[in-house]
Amino acid sequence: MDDEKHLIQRTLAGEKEAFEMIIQKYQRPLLNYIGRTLGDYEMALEFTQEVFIKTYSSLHTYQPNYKFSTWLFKIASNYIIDYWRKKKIDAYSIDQQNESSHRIHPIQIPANEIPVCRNYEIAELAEKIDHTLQELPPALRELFVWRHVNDLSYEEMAEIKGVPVGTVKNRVFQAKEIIRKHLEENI
Amino acid sequence: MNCLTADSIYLFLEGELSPAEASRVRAHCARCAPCTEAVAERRQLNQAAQNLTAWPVPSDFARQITARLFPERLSLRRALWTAAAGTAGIVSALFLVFLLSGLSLLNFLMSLNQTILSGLRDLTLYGAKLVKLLTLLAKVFTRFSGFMWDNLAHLSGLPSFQLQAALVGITVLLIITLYFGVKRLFPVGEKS
Repeated sequence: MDDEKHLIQRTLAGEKEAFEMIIQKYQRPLLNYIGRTLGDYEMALEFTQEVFIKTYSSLHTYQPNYKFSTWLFKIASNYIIDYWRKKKIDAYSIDQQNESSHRIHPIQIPANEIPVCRNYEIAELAEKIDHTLQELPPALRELFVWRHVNDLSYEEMAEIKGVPVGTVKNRVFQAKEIIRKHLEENI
Repeated sequence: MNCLTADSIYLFLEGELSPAEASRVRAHCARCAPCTEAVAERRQLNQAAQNLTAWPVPSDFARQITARLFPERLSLRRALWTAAAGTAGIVSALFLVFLLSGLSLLNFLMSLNQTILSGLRDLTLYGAKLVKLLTLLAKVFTRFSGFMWDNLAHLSGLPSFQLQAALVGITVLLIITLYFGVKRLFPVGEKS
């Protein structure tokens, strides 16, 4: 952590190598987050570059009391949302569904549920999940990727999105249920 | 206790429930087969979700980004050295040609001067001709494509696709007949 702060200070002092080390540390998680959220590898490479360039240009505004990775993911998330808006992709906000009631409804398990995940080996199921990710609504896909690809905590995700932790949890569970349902339908 | 919701199962699997709540879930599962099955199903889903294959990062990715952020500037010293090296190269090449051609220095410089001047004159002449020809070709192409476009627009206005296809077919046939007919009547450059 101190190392990271030191790297940021060196970058701000104009040291190219320091920023290169920051990129090397975060390039994989960021590329995987952007790639899996957009579903396109080439586009992910381009967007990841742009996000790092944006990060560099606004590094002087970074508050050290904020976790750097959270700040970086927030920049990336805003970049993706801007893209979705420009492309008019319907990426509804994660708290949109509960705007009227301000309550989170528990997800019920349907009666006579057909077990589907247990029919597959873990690796095979992981591959199927990967293919099903694009069936998720964009906002839910983003949360699912953060949780399971980037291993972010619910608290970190809530901080990035500026919504309650309970809402984030519920949306991640909803994403998993949609994936499960999709696998069940395509068995 | 009612049957488990998906939320409570995921919270249970991720260790997010209090010990008391977790015990209640376990106790419920001990006497409810569908909920036991639902927990096993989601445990498998969770494990697979944690095992998605990572996308590879190109080996020079970080360098590509820093190259965009910190473009290398040519320093004055480096620029001077580059210019000096270039000049030295040209002078050496000229000296080598002078040695190999066996001309006197004066003759060599005069022939070099003549070659450069005539080359420049030819280049200007042919360049001007080429520009003129290209302009003419562009004009002809623009008019021809405009003509074709207008006629195609008329053609697409016809009600039936079959009629359009038949008209195109007849036109192509007419062009071919015309081409071979003219060639037969006027056998230019062909031996009889």
